[in-house]
Amino acid sequence: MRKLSLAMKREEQSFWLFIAPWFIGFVCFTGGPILFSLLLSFSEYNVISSPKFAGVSNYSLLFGDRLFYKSLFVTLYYSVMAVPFTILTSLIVAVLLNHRIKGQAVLRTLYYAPSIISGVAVSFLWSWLLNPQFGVVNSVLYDWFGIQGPGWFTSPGTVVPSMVLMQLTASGSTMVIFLAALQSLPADLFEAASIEGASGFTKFRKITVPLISPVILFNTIISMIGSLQIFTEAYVITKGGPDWNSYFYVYYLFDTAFKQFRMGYASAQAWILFLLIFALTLVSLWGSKKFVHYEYDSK
Amino acid sequence: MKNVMATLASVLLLFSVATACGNSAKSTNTDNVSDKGKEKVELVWVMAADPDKKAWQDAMISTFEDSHPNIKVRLENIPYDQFDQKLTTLIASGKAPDVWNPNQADSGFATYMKMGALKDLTPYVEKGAPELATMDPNLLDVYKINGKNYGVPLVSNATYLYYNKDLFDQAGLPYPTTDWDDKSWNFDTMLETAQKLSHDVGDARKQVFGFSSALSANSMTWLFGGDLFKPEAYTTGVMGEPDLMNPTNIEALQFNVDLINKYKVAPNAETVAASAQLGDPFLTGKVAMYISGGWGLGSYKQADFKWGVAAVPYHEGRKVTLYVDPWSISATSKHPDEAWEFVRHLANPAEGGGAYRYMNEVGRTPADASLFKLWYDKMGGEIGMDPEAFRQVHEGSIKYGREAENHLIVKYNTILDTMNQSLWSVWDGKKSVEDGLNVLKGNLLSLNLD
Repeated sequence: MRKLSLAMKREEQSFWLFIAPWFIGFVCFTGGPILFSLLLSFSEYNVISSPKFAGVSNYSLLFGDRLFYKSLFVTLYYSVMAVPFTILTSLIVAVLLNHRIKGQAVLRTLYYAPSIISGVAVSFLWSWLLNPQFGVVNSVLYDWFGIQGPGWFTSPGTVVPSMVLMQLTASGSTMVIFLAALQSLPADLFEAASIEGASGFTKFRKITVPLISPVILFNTIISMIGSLQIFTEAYVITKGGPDWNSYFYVYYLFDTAFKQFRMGYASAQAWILFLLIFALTLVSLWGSKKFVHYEYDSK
Repeated sequence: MKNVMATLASVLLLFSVATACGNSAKSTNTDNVSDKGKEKVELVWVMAADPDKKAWQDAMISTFEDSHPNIKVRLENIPYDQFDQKLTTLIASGKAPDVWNPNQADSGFATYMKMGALKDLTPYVEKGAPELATMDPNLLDVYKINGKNYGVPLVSNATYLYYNKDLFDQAGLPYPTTDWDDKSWNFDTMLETAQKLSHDVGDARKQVFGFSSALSANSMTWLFGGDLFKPEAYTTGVMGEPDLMNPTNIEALQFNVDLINKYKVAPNAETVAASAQLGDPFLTGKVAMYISGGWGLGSYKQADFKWGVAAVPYHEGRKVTLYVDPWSISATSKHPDEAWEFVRHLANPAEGGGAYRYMNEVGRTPADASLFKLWYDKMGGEIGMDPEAFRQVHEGSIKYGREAENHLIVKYNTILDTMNQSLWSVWDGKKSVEDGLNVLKGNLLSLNLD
């Protein structure tokens, strides 16, 4: 083995010293619990008495559990709607905010602002806006247009779409990432296209979209991961109802862990979700090869 | 190689620091124990947050601390819907409060009893406490398990039919009876009355509903003499195989479905969910008759209309829910003697004592028999009812009452959630009662509660 110089040794020591706060935090609060939950998923643990080894019984129970399938279905249904909705709306907003107009900075701040408010507060706000009896939205629909508004969160058919709509106030960071990508686009390509007589939409489709496709992929994966873990909205507004229609996977997991105190079962649920997200992420990375254009190919 | 060892050593060092961060909490706890006797003892008292009770809570602490200068009481109010979760976490982490009411939220006495979280109070009760002398022995027995006392009753809420006097007056209808044995006041006559009281149902601004209730599906079946669970469930605490398909259950649930969808005298599930955001539906003044628990006597004081209480309509085998709430001490309490002193203070029915003031100031139904007369007079005066009539309503409710299921069946909060979710489409009219009960059965059995 190569001998390290004194300076390098010192540097190594400093490295461990400086990384210590993060490292301790990670071991104590993230890495340790993650590994522990894997162990727990093979045990029965009700928090009060110590865990008992239970083999794979949690996993086999899970695959016979109706609510497991129901919650998985509801979550995937939400995800399938929420991801395209988030990507489309935040891309549109980013393109609009990219126009050089008066008050651009103020508008950008305004559109980003809801993202820094806590999810609980935003959920309360939406639940009041969309309350079918006393909410502003249904009152306006009725008073101005004579339309009897839908039941929103209180009706089995509209509860998930309503939660998708809520993403309007939660996609600020997606929007900012798009905005950053849009600003880094080279102006010369657009100039050349204008000289060739390309319309605005053609330029967007043929130049903007291919150039920012890696960013679209990134945002899609991030919002997919986020959407599969949806929890706050259901916890604050609907408690999983009506008729299980917002009983999302993580909400069910929370129920088993912190209402029924079946930590082993909940850990098994968590690891299934982890594997699912991991697999879906790999599939999207692999499936995106054809559509994503990297300007500087490393090959 | 040396350097690799050095690196490993520093990593190990970090690990030991990391594990140390988990231990600090424990050591401070043991310090508290060794200080016992010398320093002030601190009791932790936990309740579900309720603004109606705040003044009473403050008074309890200050009067107790005045008479017990060695003991300090720290009150923690936990929001209702987080109560069970927080309590279980506290118990699991060895930080259980000293004095609390296990029935404060949906989980209930049975769940905490099964956890082993409650202290056997028999030695204290046997030693004698003058505060418990006038308590009905039947009430003390509610929380006696295998001959041991685990709770001292404070409240004994009954179930009544609340009615909005203003709406009855407007419709020119007589108020419902206070006599529980009057067979002419049954569910058919209740429906007729509700039809006369309902109008504009469907128009969110003007609608008035003749009837609504805060009853769970199981309580609805009780009113008709049915039951969703087998008798053993209530004695063993284990739900077991539910008994859903009995014809009385179906009749009871069908009646409630018809109130919503056929006769349109009760709000549908969507309307209930929407108005729940504002609080209690009866307080909106848009519901003429409402079946709910005795806590309404306190919380409906703020109503801006006149109201009264009456008998729940007659039905063969009718049972209504009683909610007897006890004070319990944690099995792990480090100061059980002091905690018992505080429980005695809370349960004291003498003027100025805890139970007396709870009845007088919070307006809840007392458990102690010596307070009944005072309470009838007080409630009669407040509601604008003859105290005799009020006594009749209350005694009828006790006569036809049975203890609430969440106090008796383990993990009832999960059972209740499953029941409410699974039967939604039944209330909505999308599924028949039988189909809904079949779905419910499957969901209940897949819960793996044990």
